[in-house]
Amino acid sequence: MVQKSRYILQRLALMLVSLFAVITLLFFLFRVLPGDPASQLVSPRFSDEQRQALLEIHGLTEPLHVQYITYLGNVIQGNFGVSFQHGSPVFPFIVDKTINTLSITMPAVLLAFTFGPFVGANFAWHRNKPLDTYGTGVVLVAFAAPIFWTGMLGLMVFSFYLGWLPAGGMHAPTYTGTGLVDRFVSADFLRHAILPIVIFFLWRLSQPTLIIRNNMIDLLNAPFLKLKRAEGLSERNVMYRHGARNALLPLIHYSALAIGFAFGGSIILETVFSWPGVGRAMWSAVLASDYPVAQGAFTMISVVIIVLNFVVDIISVYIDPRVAEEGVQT
Amino acid sequence: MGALTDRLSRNQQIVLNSYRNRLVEIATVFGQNRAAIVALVIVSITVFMAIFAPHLAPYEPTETVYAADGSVATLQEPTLAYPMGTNHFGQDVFSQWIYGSRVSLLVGFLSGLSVITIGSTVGLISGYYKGVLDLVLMRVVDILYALPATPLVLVIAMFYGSSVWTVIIAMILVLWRTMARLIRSETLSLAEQPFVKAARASGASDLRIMFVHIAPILVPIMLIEGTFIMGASILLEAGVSFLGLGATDMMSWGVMLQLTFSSGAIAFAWWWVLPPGLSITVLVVSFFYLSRGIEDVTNPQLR
Repeated sequence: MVQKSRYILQRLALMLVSLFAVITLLFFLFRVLPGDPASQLVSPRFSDEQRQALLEIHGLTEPLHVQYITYLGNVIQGNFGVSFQHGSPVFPFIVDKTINTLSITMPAVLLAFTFGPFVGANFAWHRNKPLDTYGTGVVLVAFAAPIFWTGMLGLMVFSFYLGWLPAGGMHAPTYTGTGLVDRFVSADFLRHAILPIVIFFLWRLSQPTLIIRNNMIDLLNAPFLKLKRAEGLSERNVMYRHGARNALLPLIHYSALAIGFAFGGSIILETVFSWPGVGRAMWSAVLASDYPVAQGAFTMISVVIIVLNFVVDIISVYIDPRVAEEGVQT
Repeated sequence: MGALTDRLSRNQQIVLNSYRNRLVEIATVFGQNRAAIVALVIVSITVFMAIFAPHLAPYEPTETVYAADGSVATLQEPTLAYPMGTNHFGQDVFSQWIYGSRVSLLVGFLSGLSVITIGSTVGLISGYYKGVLDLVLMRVVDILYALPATPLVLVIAMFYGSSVWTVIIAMILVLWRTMARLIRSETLSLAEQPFVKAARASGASDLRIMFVHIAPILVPIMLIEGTFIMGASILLEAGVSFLGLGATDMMSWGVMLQLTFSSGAIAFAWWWVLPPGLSITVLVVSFFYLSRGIEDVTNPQLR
């Protein structure tokens, strides 16, 4: 029990250090790199007074260390400044976009982590037989195929050739809903979301599948499985109830990594499907040199990854207390 | 004197034979892995294509081609003259596809080699010295895991301008993290082995122990992860180029797909969409299978 609390406290401290480091890193990444925000923001046509006024609105006239301290204070309060493009506050904008991103990435990742272990367990059971050899190949190909390309192929077939699905966006152009519930609970949303979810799911399937496959292969000759077979349990029973369950443990750690990959991939996926998510917001901000939005989106993505990693650490120590012993030593 | 040289040459013979046997053994194990052989062939063909691109491509990648009546040949379906058709600028897709292999391989090999160098060095130092240095380096690795690669490459490209080199450098900055973790955990246990203590007792310096005694044992892991990184970075470059912030100075497969997408030709121009995407997929899968082939050879437990 003491060990568990020590472990949780240690992880909490690590999370805070990581959060601080990433937020600092991103601040300097965006200020110190060439092409300073002032020159990006202010067109040469402006008069000196206009220029000065604009810089002051965005807090760019102060020395760097003052800007940094102001920035830290602002980030803690959820204030990421205002967008250069549309002049509205960045934080509510980014939060709204992140919800849109989660509406396709979460179902896809959940599906992958539900089906993957099942598929992987079957591969392991048929190790070195055609099902395993070709199945693993298919999963690897699905991982190696760029998602913007598979997305384009999906659009080509299902929306341009067959005409079954819309060619992008989150809703039909006539959509006027305002609440979160009617944004995500409608046939219209589903019609738009299904293709990106499937493409994303196929891309993310490889990791849980192959991890479970390899873990199961290591377990196949474990004494406790031999015992279960000797007890006369069916192969099916041995495989799912006893084998797969033990192979699942390491997967919990990978789920946090998978969420990180999901956000990285969402930029590309959302561009293909014109999905109004945080990735696409970041991309258009980068193209328009709208650095408060780009920085806010990047910070948001990193903070979500770090916090979810912490949550996963906590969940795994409750499922498998041995984690605490290994964790505290390092 | 004669006896001595005799014995020397016999010893050399034995050493040579054992090397030859080892090579034959490696080749045999690798040869049994059919997927790895196919992968090796595909990578070799791509290397050939990249090196001899100017001789293989019928046109320059950005050259405008003309139909018989003198008009620009835009969006033509594949014919004998244009085996992969033409794009909406009237450029030969086949020539672009051949030149595109150069970017993918350049990106793959450069970032693979750099990741092996940087990741292994950090891992060796971290695992060998332990303590505060280890703690600091591993926290840096933790933080890198919170920075998704695609956005980071995007942002760096935004400031430094988009080119192949920006993309490669930005990728190397993040991708060494896994290598560092792998090499560190292996080094931690190797550093406790008797041979390291023996080396230290006989006066070997830390550098010598790390790079002459420990590192060679870890070469297989470096190769396995390095080959995987080659595939992964080819994918990453394609993605960033697709977003319009990658290899804008060279014709890459990702750039080709970006042009297809932004011109709206994905609605019908299958000849322009299929080759680059398929090539990326096949090349990346080949690197993954090569990585697994190396694993087969170096890890007897898997056989």
